[in-house]
Amino acid sequence: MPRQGLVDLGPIGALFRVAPYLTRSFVVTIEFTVVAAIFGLAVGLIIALLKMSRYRPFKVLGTLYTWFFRGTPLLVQIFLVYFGLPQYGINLPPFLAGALALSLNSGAYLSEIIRAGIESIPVGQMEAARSMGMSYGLAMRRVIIPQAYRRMLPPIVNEFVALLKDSSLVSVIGAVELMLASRQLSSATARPFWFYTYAAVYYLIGTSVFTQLGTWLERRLKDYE
Amino acid sequence: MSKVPGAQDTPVVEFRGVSKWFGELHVLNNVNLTINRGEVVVICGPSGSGKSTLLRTVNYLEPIQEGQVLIDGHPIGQRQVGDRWVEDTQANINKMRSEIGIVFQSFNLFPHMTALQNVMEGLVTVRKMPVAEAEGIAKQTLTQVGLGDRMEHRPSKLSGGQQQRVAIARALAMRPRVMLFDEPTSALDPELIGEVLSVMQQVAREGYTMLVVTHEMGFAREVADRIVFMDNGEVLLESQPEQFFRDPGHARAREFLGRLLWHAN
Ligand SMILES: Nc1ncnc2c1ncn2[C@@H]1O[C@H](COP(=O)(O)OP(=O)(O)O)[C@@H](O)[C@H]1O
Ligand SMILES: [Mg+2]
Repeated sequence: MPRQGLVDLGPIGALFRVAPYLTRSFVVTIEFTVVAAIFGLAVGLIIALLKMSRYRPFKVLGTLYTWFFRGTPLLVQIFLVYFGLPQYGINLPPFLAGALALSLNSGAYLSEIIRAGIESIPVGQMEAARSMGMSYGLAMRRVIIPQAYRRMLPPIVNEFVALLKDSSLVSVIGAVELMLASRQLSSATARPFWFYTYAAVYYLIGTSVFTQLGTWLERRLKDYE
Repeated sequence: MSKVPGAQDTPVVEFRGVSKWFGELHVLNNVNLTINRGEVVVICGPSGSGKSTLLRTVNYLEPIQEGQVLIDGHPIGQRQVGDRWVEDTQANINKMRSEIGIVFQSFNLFPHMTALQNVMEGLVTVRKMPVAEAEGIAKQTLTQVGLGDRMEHRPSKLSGGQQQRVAIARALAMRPRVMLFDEPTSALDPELIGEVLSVMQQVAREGYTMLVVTHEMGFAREVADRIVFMDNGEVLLESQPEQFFRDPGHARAREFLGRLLWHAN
């Protein structure tokens, strides 16, 4: 990383010099977000199904899961995975530990979104599907989810935006993403205002693109109805 | 009306001592009733008397606590293990459900599918029929209910009467052993009721076994082979339409009919 003379270049000159590096670390941030979004959705779907199950122990399990992950700080969860698990011989590299903690955390929020979306579909839809002889899973797949995901989309996009911002927390366990890169540059140059401003701009671009994408998708799905 | 003279009575649906409770509420009280092949049976009675619940026990949307509901001799939702009756496997229940058609008051069409896709859905995903074959049957069935020109429409683009006819086609396409109707015209604007009733009459003429909950007494008089009157979860009487409308012979039924005719005029 070319630190020599960064200060002499002034804020704009320095930005151009470090842009490739910041962009690379922003890509890591995006990777965190996408991985956590995908696994978070999978976790969220499973937890949502547990919570909607008629079988009490499943219900309780799902509820406990959400209670824990929404009721404790994400930072604590990241530390539990990265520093806590090695105590039991499970050593995960920073990227994996961070992605895992983010996935588990967003899974809890997404499960609430998914459950609310599924429960917003009138019961008559499930009854009609089951009456034709569909199994519960088939009815979910063919009838309930295709209707529910349209309603879930806006809150899911919001959750992904939150995820993008929350991914900055994994910098504390040494995963070099945008936040940690900015911190390193700040301390090397003693110009934290510059570099944290650049970080903020990158995050803003990311969240704006996500939000726009969501609005666009939403509009497309509306046409469809 | 569709019974062949001299044909043997073959039970398609049999309620044997059926009782059901919702918590403390005794919704079905020892119901015994038989519907034979090709018969059209109309169930009527005051609101809350258990008509919908009774209908929904036939495809096991409502499990029962006592008795049995037999479809072509097989108890739905139950299976014998040794000398005990236990809940049937989900696969068996699904299989039997796919052979029972039901039409709901609120249509319950799948809004994300076209009329054609709605009718094909069960054939393709439950019966595992090749798409081309399912499409042929679905088109033919939609044409039968007078919607040959509405196949590519989504439910939201159809009138209530058209939606209900799609729902009837969706059930018919599966060639069910029995067709259940739960107040199929109650959610419709008055001017749309006729088109649905005439499709139901046509279904009856084709020889389908039908169990119909309705307050359309014109339909009951013209199409039903038998009328069943329910009150408080009990079947109070069964009779021929002419007899029922001349004098049902039971105070509660007389009162019910009087109220209905009063409102109709
Ligand atoms: N899922 C349910 N849980 C509790 N009570 C119910 C449920 N469904 C129906 N009931 C009650 O059972 C009784 C019979 O209902 P229903 O079969 O819908 O009557 P009908 O169709 O003749 O109007 C009513 O008192 C109704 O409130
Ligand atoms: Mg009812």
